[in-house]
Amino acid sequence: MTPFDFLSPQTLAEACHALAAAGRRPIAGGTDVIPQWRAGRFQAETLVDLSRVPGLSDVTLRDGEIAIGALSTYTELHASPVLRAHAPLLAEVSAMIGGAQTQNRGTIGGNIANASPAGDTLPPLLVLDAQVDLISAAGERSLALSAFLRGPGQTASEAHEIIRRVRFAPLPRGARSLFLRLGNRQGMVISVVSAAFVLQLDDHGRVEEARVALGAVAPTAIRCAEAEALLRGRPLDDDLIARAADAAVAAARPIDDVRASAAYRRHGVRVLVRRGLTQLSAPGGGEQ
Amino acid sequence: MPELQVVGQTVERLDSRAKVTGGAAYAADIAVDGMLHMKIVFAGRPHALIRSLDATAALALPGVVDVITAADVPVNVRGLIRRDQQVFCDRLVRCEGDQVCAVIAETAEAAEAAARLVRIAYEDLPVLSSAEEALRPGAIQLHAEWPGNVCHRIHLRQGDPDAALAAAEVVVCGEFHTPMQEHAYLEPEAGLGYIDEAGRVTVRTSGQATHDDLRQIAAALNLPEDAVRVVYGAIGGAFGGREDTSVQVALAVAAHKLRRPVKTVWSREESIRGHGKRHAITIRHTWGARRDGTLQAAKIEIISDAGAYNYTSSEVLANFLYSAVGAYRFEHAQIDGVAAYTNNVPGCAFRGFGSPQSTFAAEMMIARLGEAVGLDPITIRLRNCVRTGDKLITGSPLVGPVSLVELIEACAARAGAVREGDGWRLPTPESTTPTKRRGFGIAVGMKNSGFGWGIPEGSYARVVLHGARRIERAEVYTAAADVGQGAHSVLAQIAAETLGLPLDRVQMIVSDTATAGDAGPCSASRMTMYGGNAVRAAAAEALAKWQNEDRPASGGGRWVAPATTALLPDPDANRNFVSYAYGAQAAEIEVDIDTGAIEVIRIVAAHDPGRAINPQQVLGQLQGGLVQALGWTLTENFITHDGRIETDRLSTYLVPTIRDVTTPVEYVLLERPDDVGVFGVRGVGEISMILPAPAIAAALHDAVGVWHDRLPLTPERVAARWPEYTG
Repeated sequence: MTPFDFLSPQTLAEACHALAAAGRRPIAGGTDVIPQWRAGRFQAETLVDLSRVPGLSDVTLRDGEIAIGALSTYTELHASPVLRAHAPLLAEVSAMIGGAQTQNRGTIGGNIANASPAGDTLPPLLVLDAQVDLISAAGERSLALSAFLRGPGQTASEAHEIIRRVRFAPLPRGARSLFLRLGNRQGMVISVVSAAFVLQLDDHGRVEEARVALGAVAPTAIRCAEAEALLRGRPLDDDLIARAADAAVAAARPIDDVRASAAYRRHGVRVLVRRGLTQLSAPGGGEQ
Repeated sequence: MPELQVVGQTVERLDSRAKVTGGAAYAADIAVDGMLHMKIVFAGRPHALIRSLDATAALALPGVVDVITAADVPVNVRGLIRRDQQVFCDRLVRCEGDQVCAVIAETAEAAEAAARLVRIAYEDLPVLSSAEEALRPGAIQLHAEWPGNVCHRIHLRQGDPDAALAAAEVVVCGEFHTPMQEHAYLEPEAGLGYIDEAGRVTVRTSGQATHDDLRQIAAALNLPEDAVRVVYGAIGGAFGGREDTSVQVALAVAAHKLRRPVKTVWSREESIRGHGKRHAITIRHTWGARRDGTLQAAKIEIISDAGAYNYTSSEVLANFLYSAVGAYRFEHAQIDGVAAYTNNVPGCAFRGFGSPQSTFAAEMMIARLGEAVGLDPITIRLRNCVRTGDKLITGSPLVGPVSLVELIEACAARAGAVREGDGWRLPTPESTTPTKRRGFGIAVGMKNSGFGWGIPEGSYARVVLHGARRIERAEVYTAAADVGQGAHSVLAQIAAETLGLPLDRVQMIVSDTATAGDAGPCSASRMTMYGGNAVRAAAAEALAKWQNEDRPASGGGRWVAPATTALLPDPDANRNFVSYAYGAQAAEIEVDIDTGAIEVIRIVAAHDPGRAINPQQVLGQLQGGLVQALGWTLTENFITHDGRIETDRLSTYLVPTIRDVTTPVEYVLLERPDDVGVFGVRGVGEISMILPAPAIAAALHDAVGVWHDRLPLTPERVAARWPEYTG
């Protein structure tokens, strides 16, 4: 544990300025940064505390777009009426991350920045087609979450950039969504496999739109383009669900670790995709 | 016995308010003026030669006072049973948790920073990563004194098991693997070493036996025992993991050398690497029986991973000499066991002391035998289990009332089993979810209370009565460790009862070798039984003196437990233990056949505390053992690879959280007073730990028709045995 300096900027501009220098690293809730620091996994000389920066913790629905400030905690996301109405899977997943203390401290921006393959908000954000807004002293830019996530702990952001917010379109009326995960105990556990779904069916049970994302089975959380393509335009029956599950398994690139083998993770992908789609195909399943 | 006033009552624990309000002082909470901070440098590698140690850079860091090494330890060994571990390694490292040196500095930060600057050149050596590997001919030798890496062997033969097995109508075999388990006590190791006002080298820490710690410190420092003092404050759990020393000797060496107070606090990762684990054990059984299910013969092999040092490996293995056959009667048996030195974290004491492992294997065997001969799980157990007047497989008489039959029947009935004809009809729970299956299982067992095996046992206590016309205050001096089980409160109840005083006139003066003699360790479910006997005897003596007009009146000394014997060749001469606990548990589970996740729906736990001194504390012990067993059975997967611990934090080593222990547990308590325990108590510290694993594994078989031989029953292991598994 190397000692570090600690800056507490009071405005976004100050925060950007503080991060412009070398050897700086942002910290918000600290639920990932502090354990990593204790484990000696980074050597920042200065931590820049974002938690006092105002205006970064609102959840708003404006002009057909939901914007979530990066400092929004899991507790806030779980309680958000906007999310409950328009992106319920994100509200639900927020109550499944860590324990109460972690949910009170941990932020959605932190979960994105940490870029863990098993980060539980990431599959839901991927099926919501989320955009990540970055800001720095040099300006602002925006990129799709799928492009932002590069690998375990690797992102497309530069050291001086701050995640300001994450944006996505609210789910349309009648859209069905769901988040499922497997873990080795009842909560307070890192996911072994996770899966998120958004599905729209027409009046005849045919798939109009399908989005499927997986967590903990590849270097990043991933979307399953092949499974989605297979689903679109077809009636959601058991056979299609089985084929979509096959396609999802094919998209996974899991590893063996202390939590599970790659083989069990592949099996888990099949189980979760089959279960998720079956649940969503039921009348009213996962509907807004 | 006259009606009891304080014993048998659920009274508030003496320490509960302080613990709930944060006032209780654990070792890490102690700070004194001028205190230094110690950071131990662990080897962090499983097997290596130390080529050189250069502390120059560390010593040069501002605030660093000293770096202590093997050269600073007069007699550089420690060990509870066998002094086979160096305090600081001078040449050879045998496990990751070996301590190589310690940096002492004015601040904890400086000590930690300097610890990283100690340059140690290692030459890594080949690693023995399992007992099987270590026992192979030609394996490298870890301890010159213990050829073949044999840490300990046991052997017992009764009757003619070979002939009996050859002639048996039914033969059942099995091989079982049980994993290491981390104690995961709330309080990581910590302590303060200092020189007290009487000039004694003093260590204030957490442990299970002040006097065992003291003897190891005195031996390492080559000091007389009265020049050393050990004091325990509030202790955040122990479960066997604090029987061996961790920080004690290093703190004493530092304080002795520097003549200043020295403190250390381990992180969770250091704790997991730095103390022992429940032994990983492989057990092979061959059982022969009559077609009617009557057991006749058993041949059993036990291979235990002792890890790098003995700790209590030899004693844990020795307990298999009786526990390997479970709670069953055999005419013929052969038991062969070996504990092997490896480069893994040492195996040590852990709640149950080998009985969770032996009971899991024996109960899986009886379950299979029941299936083979077509008897239900209750009938096969009742047909074979020990009864009052029976003997252990060693020939040792089962002294005292054996309540096992009664417990099995009570457990079965509460769980919903019904007698039908010659047998029992079991509950047949059904899941309402298509992808889930339910099952019901039962397990029964016994556990010795007290060490037995000829180890001299007793406990010291002293009681002093103050007052003039009436007793105003009774001081009870005991070194018994209250590791969280409530020992001090229960001992106070025993004193109050004996003296006929209200509890608030009893003052406990505890856990300090300067004020009390050796109470013996808090282990083997023994402290209430034996510590309680010592307190009662001391109180009775003091009361007699009070009545004889002594003011103050004082009584006490060492209470000596009934003698036992080691394993003797003549079965009739064996008196291996003097007290036992019995239990029966039933579990209903629901398993998700796709994911393999097991949910425990319901547990019935039938136990015999002999007499509950404090009924709430008895329940606390039973609940604690159950939860620890649920972890060992389901979620706690301790993984090592080539001697390296891969689950060194609580995010990878998954102990149950509150969400995992929502299972309703119904307790059935039958009090059948014991002959030896004070007021008839039996030890209840361990018995509930040994039964959940086999009960759940039996329920899993009932649910999906698969016998599992390896713990923990992780979702992956369970799912992988289902025919539709696609992994």
